[in-house]
This record gives sequence, structure tokens and C-alpha cells, in this order.
Amino acid sequence: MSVKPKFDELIHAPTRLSIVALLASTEWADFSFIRDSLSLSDSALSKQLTTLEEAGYIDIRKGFVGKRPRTSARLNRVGRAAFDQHVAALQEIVALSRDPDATRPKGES
Amino acid sequence: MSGEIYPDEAQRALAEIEQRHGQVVDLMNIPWWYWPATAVLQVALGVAVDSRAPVVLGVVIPVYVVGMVVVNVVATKGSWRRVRPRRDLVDPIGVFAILGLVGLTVGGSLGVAFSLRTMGVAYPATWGVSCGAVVLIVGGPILNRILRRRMLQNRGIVG
Repeated sequence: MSVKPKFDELIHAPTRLSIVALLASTEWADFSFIRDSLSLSDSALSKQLTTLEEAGYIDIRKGFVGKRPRTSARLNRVGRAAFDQHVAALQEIVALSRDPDATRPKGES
Repeated sequence: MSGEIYPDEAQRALAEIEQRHGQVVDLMNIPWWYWPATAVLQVALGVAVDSRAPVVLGVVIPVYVVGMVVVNVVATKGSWRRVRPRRDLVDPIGVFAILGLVGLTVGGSLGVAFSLRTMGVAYPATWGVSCGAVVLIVGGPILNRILRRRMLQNRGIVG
């Protein structure tokens, strides 16, 4: 299935790119897992998750395991589509740098 | 907008995405000790069956059940509680590989055990599960490698 390349400034920010890339391979991920995987502080991760949630890219679920609060995040359909398009855009940039004629229609000079 | 991004920056971003994907795939890796531990439990069960001693069976069967539960829980503990990798990371070829190992282990064990029993060989269950154990010990790490390779290839995004 082909995805239309679309560069996404919001996703491309380094920390958010790492968060979204991690979430893209998961059904959901615990707040502590993302924090530890990316070596972020609680506040830094909260801020980025809020930004992604406000953009409509992720869903945040808050619950309890026993008496301990647990927050998890998942990339929703909108976020996954935006991520796929962003990846396609990155791949297009790399492909064009290797072969500038890659996306040019045949016959065009 | 993407015109403002240099190719090397795009390349670095793609590498970061690959690295994070690999991080999740690594979580799904079955630990090396899982296969020999499972094999030892199976052989113990086979020996108990061949002993035909109710006391031995009464001890070994609960040990086998508890042992299998513990081995599976410990093998999947830790990060698995904090993250659920996407189910479709394991593609049909990966599923086929898993079913192949299970089929080979169970089929091999039963086939050898019943064949030896028909031939009147002593301790057929022990020999049967021992063959299954060898399949597990040899095939388990191979299955791990196949699954890891398939999951790394299957990012589920345009590639």
C-alpha cells in the first residue's frame, strides 16, 4: 500500500520523533517505559505527550494497577497515518538526494 | 516544507525510527534459557511417565505444571508489563515458523515415542520427549532469529 509523503513538523522534533517511533511499534506503552527508553524526565515526557495528544495523534489512558496510578499512551489512527506519511517524506528526501530523477516523470528533463 | 530538511537529517531521523523499532522488537526476544528449561521439564515428564510409579507421577506432574508456568511468566516479565508490542509485528511467515517448531516438537516426540513403543523398546516416552527436547534446544534459538529478522523487516510503514 502506498502512502502519500507528507512531512510533519510536529512529529519531526527530535524527542517527539523518538516517542512516536516507539509508539508506532506498540499497541500501547506505559509512561515509565517511554520515559526510561528515551531517558527523559517525567515533566519533559508529560509535555511532549500533551503536545501529541492535543494534535490528536495519541490517546492517553490513565488507570490504576492495584493502588498505583498508571498512565499509558497509544498512537491512534490519525497519529499512525501522520507518522507513516512522515516516514514516507523522509524516505523521499533521502531517495531524491541519491537520485534526483527518482520522482521526476519520465521524459521530463 | 520538507525541502528545508537536508538528506543527512532525514537519514538520521530514519535511523532513529529504526532504532526505536528495534528496541520494541528486542522486548519480544525469548531468553536463551527458555528453551533448555522447557526441554528439561519435558524430559522429566517423559521419565515420570515411563516410571509408571504413581508417586513419581504425583510429584513430577505438579512440578511440570508449576515449572512451565514459572518459566513462561519469568520469560515474559519485565518490560512486557509496561508495553504491548504490535501484534502484526509477527507476520504470517513468523506465525508459520512458530507453528512449525511446535508441530516438529510435538509430532517428533509422539512419533518417536509411539514408534519405539510399537517396537517394544524400553522407555519410549523418555526417548520421545528427549527427541522433542533436542528439537526445542536446537530450533528455539533458530526460531528466535527468524522472528527477530521478520519483525525488524516488518515495521508496518512504507519501506
